[in-house]
Amino acid sequence: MIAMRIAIGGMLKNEMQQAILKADPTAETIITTDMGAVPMLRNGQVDYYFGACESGGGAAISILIGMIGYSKCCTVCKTGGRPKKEEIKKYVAEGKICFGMAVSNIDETVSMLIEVLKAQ
Amino acid sequence: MEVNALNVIIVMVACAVTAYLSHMGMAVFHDGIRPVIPEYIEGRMHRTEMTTVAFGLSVGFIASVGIGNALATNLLNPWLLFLATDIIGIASPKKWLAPILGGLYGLLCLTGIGGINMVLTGLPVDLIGGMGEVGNYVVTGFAIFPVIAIIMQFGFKTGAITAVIVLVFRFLGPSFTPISGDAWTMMVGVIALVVLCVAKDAKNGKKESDADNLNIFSERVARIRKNLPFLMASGALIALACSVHIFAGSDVSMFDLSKAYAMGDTAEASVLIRTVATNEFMRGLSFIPLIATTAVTTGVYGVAGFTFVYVAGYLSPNPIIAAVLGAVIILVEVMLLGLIGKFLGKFPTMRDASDNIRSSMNTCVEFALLIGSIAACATMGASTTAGAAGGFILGGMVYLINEMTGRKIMRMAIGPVAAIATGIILNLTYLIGLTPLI
Repeated sequence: MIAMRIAIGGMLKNEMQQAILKADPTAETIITTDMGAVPMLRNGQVDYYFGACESGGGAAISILIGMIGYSKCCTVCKTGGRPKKEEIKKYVAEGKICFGMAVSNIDETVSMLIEVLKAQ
Repeated sequence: MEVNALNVIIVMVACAVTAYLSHMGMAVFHDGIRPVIPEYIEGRMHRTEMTTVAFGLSVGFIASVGIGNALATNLLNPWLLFLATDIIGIASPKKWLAPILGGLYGLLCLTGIGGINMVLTGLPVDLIGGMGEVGNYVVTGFAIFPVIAIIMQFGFKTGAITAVIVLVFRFLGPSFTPISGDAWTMMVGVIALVVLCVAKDAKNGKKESDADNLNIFSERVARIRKNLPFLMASGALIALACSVHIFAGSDVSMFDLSKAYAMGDTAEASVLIRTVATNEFMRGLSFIPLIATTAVTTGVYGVAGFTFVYVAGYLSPNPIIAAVLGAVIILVEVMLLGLIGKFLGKFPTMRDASDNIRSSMNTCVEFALLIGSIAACATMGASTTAGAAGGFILGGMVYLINEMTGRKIMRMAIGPVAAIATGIILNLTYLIGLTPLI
């Protein structure tokens, strides 16, 4: 299997990278910004984008929604909520590639998200 | 926070205007709702669907940071008012309904928070007095943010060296200058951060960027300019609300403002307000890249702009000057918007730094609030037979339960919420005779 390539933007990027590598040590991560990730996603340099912010839908993915398109973006964990596996499966099946999440729940969200993406 | 006719009018009109802005898609407070609005305007999304998105993104904020911190400080805040008016405006099916509902919501907040605060003030175990400690370390904690941002962006070694340099200035600086230790900490840290960023940029040379992408958004910028009168009205009203001491702009400022307003018109209070204004200004700077880029790419502005209107409100000698400054600030911001967008497109490192700065500001303030809140719990406990340790265990349990159940309450709010909960529990146990006052 080819390693997953993930661009990281938003807040607490170091924590995001650690969470991704904990969930999938083979993943290739690139720490960048939301705007920096746009060309990477467009030319296929990365497969996915993960970003965190306070709400999961603001700083994390707002630029991606504007530049890559709403149909490719989703919030997998909102503030005060917990990630739901069924919901993530649905998003991934719909072809979403940019994932925003609440900064307070990076660990749990990333491990679930990686699990679903790997099962694809 | 006094509930008088003037304050009621200011809050109601401010909420009415922001709800209208949100309904018309001119401006919203939540950075995450901004990119969703073109989806609606361009017909890819229904109003009901957009309402669901707005509600889902904001409800956690309103409940925890909004209400929790408003009760702790007895000041209104943008999360309580404007995240809600975002939702109200978007949900309103008719243009005329949005301002009416927004105004009523403002009235509810002002009287509700004021009323609950009055009830809490009258409790036998002193809750409000204890809450004063919640913000004790916020100014000092906030001053550490550049060091934390440097560690995030440049790694442990660079960060540790900066930390040592910053500490030397912190302890030596005040001995030969009238500048406070906190000011030294932040100043030296910010300079170090800027120097490191510039040095990195110079080494990497100019990177390929998506600069051209931002230029095509001139149509969106034109849309924001067209809405200027409404945006300026909103800026004026928010600055006005700050200047009459019923509103605080962020977690960086609200706790110390609450303390300063309680001191009355003293020299100490005005020094504290100036410190708060400086910190709010720094916070505003760190938010420019986020707000500017989302605004330029969506054509939807922020109800408080780049949040500099708060600073104008705190520092203005009277409400009229505050309102005028608020409107002028928004005018200048919007006029510069296109330029700022182009600049940020050319220097992606600026955005990278901005992400790290906002993360580190949050980390520092959350930490300071947690420590201050636990101190408040201990103080409340110490006034009863429960003792300081009793207060600690109550607050600690609230915090840990929240940690273990997926952090339903945001980190930024859990400290003050835990302190309020501790105060209420201690009053209940007092009532049943379990923890008499000592």
